[in-house]
Amino acid sequence: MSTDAPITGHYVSIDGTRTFYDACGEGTPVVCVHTAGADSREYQYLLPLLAQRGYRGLALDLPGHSRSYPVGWEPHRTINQHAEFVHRFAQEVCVGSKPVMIGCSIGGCIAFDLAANHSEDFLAIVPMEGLAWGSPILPFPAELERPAWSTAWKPFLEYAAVESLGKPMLADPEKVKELWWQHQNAHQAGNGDIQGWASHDVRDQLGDVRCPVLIIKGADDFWVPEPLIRLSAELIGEQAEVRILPDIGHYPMFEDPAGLAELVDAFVSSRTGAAAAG
Amino acid sequence: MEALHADEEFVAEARWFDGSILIEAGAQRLWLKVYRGRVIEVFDFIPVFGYTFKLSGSPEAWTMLGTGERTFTDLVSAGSRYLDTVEEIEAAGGGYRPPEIAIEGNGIEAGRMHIASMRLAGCLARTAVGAEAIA
Repeated sequence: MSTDAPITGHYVSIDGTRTFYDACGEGTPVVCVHTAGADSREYQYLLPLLAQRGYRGLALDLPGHSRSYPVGWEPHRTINQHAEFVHRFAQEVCVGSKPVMIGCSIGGCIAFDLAANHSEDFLAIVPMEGLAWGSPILPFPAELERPAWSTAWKPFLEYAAVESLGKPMLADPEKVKELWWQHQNAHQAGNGDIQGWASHDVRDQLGDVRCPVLIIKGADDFWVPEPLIRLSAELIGEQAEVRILPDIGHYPMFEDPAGLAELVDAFVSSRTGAAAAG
Repeated sequence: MEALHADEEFVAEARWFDGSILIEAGAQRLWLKVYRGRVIEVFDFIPVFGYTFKLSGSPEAWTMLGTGERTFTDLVSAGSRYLDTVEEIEAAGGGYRPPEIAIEGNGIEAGRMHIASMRLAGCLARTAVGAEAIA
């Protein structure tokens, strides 16, 4: 399999909203969902590595982020709104093939929401740096929704992002700056994402998950306490596995894309018997 | 202050600020008058006209910042993240548990100076840890 599969940009209409996604490779689809206030560029290093392993890597910009318009000109303010949108995106773009779903941070919370409500439509679900329950981690920030209400919100969110990198990468100014530039999104979109994180809770809906779930946490990530990761896994039961990654922070796909591609491929192959069509 | 004035990011962010910042580490105080990207006066007390905004935390919190054990964003963010059990995380405020370092006073000006405050806090904390000046 070629190691230099190109990433191509595409648009698709979901809920009447022009939605952007990156695509790379052919095979079993893997739908990748970015972190709060960011976009598909977070997956630019992972997608070709998935393609190399025989997957069709797909990474969308959530509504209101980067190149995707918001639905009805309003930001999503709940994880469930995002999750239902991702589900419709997957059904539209992955016709005839159950996709794997990977999400990070709010994308990880979206992954738990999909596990709770649509697990039968996915081959496997991989929440990274996300939880079944986000409320204790941060306050609900609706009071800061408009830019005029909080002059600090934009820098706070940008540095909330980059300072949660793993310590080895935090020491690399070039990579910190790159991640910083990936978080130049609309204030309202990022705020809606964090409102979603803070109000998200599917703890009572995880008793009947019908696909394998790989829960990933970077050991250096201060945003997501390990006890809540363990609790989230326990609620899913036998379908769930937990991996704690040493020296990795809040962005496994950005910090160690090769390691993540290997981890996801091994998990999908071993737990579903569906090795990618490589 | 030499290290701070050599920090291009602090100087640029504070370029149009005209006010005062109080730093509190436990009972220790440092009042800084900041004008056009530079600290032009320093007191170890609060002058009669007060301050524009302040950063306050325990000596332990400032030490964690100075040693790199925790980041500024982590320390100034409310919420429960450093506890051993789910029960502890739920208790004492949950998502509204107070941050280790509080930013108080004129929020608009503090917001304008968020990144400058981050650079200032990091510089002072590293210097204090190096000099063993945090009581």
